[in-house]
Amino acid sequence: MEWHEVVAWVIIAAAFIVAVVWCIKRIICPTSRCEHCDKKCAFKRKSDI
Amino acid sequence: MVSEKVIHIAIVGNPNSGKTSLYNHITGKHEHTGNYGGTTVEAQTSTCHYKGYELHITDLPGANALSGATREELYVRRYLAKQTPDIVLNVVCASNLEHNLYITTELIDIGYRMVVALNMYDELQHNGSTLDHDMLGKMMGVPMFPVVGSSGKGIEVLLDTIIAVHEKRDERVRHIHIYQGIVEESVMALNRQMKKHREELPKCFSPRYLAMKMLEGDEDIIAMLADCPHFTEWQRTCEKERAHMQSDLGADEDIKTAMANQKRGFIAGALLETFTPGQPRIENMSNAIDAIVTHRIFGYIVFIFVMWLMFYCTFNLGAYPQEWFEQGIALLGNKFEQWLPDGIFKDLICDGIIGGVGSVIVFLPNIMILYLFISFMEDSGYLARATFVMDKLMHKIGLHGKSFIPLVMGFGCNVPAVMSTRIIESRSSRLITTFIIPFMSCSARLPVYIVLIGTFFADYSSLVMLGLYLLGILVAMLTAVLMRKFMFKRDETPFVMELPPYRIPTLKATLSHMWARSAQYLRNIALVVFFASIVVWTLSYFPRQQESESAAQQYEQSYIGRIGHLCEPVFEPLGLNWKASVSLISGTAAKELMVSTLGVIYSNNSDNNSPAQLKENMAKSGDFTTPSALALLVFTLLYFPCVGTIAAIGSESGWKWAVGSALYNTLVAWVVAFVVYNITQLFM
Repeated sequence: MEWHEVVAWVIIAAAFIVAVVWCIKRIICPTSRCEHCDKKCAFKRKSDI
Repeated sequence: MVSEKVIHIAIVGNPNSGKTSLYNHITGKHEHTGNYGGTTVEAQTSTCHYKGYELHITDLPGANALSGATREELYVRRYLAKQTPDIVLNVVCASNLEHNLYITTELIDIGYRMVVALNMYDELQHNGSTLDHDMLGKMMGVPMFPVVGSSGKGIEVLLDTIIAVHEKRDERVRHIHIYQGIVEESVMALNRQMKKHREELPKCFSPRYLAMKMLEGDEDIIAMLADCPHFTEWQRTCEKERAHMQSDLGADEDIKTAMANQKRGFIAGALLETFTPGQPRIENMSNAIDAIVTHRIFGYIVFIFVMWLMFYCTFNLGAYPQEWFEQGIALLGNKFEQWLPDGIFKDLICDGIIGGVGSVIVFLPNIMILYLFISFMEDSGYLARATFVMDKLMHKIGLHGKSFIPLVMGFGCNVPAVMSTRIIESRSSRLITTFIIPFMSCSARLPVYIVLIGTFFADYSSLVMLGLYLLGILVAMLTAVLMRKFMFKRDETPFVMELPPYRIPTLKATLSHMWARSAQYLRNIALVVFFASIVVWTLSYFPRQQESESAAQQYEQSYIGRIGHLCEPVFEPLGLNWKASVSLISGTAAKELMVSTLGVIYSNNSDNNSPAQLKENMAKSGDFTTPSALALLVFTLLYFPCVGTIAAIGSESGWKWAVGSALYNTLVAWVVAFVVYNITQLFM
């Protein structure tokens, strides 16, 4: 395998992993701004208070 | 001692008093603001450093009081109870003091250490009014300072005062009792009783405040106290005092109203001594503009004109920078074609990444123009007027004007729009609004429209675009009517709309709002479209066919081609082939992906992967006729919004509604697209 083919396969594998993680995260936390996924942001849902 | 140098500050105030503008100025953040109430629906916190202190500042949703009558009021009070901030920064709209100071009296009752920011003080001065804010502060026992949240004027003094109050150096701070006469006597009696068992009481509020709320019959506070061992005893005293008060007040006035009236009387008295009203120039100007903008006939004409202008500029003005972007991307693609050795890597970069991402990024100028208009409408106060104008129409579909703001926000992005439905008190109106938001055409759908309209309807692009948006609104209205007729027969709450004064938005604020939203679009491209384009390209690249096979045959035999063929029977009645099917499937993750998918599929392994080339390839392919292109546009407008929106509906209203919304949207999209396709065919 040539170097550029190796790079291409690494990019493809990374893209598939990111796509799956993104879909799961989007379903669990649609805004990405709640305490489940962003501890630094003290963004609390109404139901939590 | 580092821990002593931290101050937790909660920003509390009426809706549209400029809390978020002030918060943004102090923290350097770019949270969304607007010239209407209900822009902030949740607490947002940020940290900044000032004179050796670490300030943790939380911006809370606007509330007119803390009585728990609305969701916002309850939310703010529960937040204060749970987080117990060191300082409450009460933001008061200086041009509407009598109304805004009511919540100040409630905060005084709770007994927090507090500083009042008299925001938008420039408006008060422009009106020629004068306010002795020092005297008013002394009367209320709270330091008060004029500030201008939009320009940052007075913020330094405000922060200095916050630190002084925190360090207990400010001599103006004192606790005052607002009630008088029989009300004060009853509060004192119950307060004495409760203070005897102070250890049983929740620590978040003072016994006096708890006594007041018990006398008012506040259900939330009563539930909070119900577990205390001496609750029955307090309740007995409370009933006795209530009976005593009621006999004194007579039958004309209930206890809660009497307590509120005493507060309003106190505010009116304090303002009589400290405030001299001038000529309300801004109010007069607002009234003059409102005579046209909220007129029962002209109001609609102005609204439609503004919408048309927005889409005209988005499409026609945006076309120039869009062309520059296209040329840049084509140049980049050509360079990579020359530099890279033949093989999978070159195909991935040129067809997958540049073809996919390039086809979406070129629409950034159009999106920026759209957001510029929305930001201007929000900041100037026109959006609130549009809400007022639409209120009558909204009533006809079983909703009221308050539902209009989330619907307009839906033109930007459906996810925050779904979350902003929290400003609607009525459950049924909230659910209906949430359900119809996906029909509002979000900005992510704009690139799809621009590509398809630019290819097949170039001569009357603005009209087709406006027509699509109107079709979305029409379907949303019909859905609301049906839901109100068959599912929720009655609306639970009346609606009173507060019209803010017109404000000329500062260039900085408008551009900053526009940029904050455009940056979100760019982030989406960087995170979602980039990786999704690679995934779509990989599925279209494998399995590899014989070298002799053409690019079209390669795509057709690829994994994505097979998926497309599998779905083709569903889309065939709409005149769409497997390629359109694949782009629609990828659009369920995020709508921008439709264009990047078409970009990959129609790249035809050519050297030029610019969006202009995409349009040309699509036109030449013979895959679309005018009716089928229109059907695709209509289907894109109405079908399954995106994973994010469905998840937002699920978390806000429950998964039953989310699944229902996804199915209903897709079904409606298919039926409407089918009707449009067949009717258009009759004329073509």
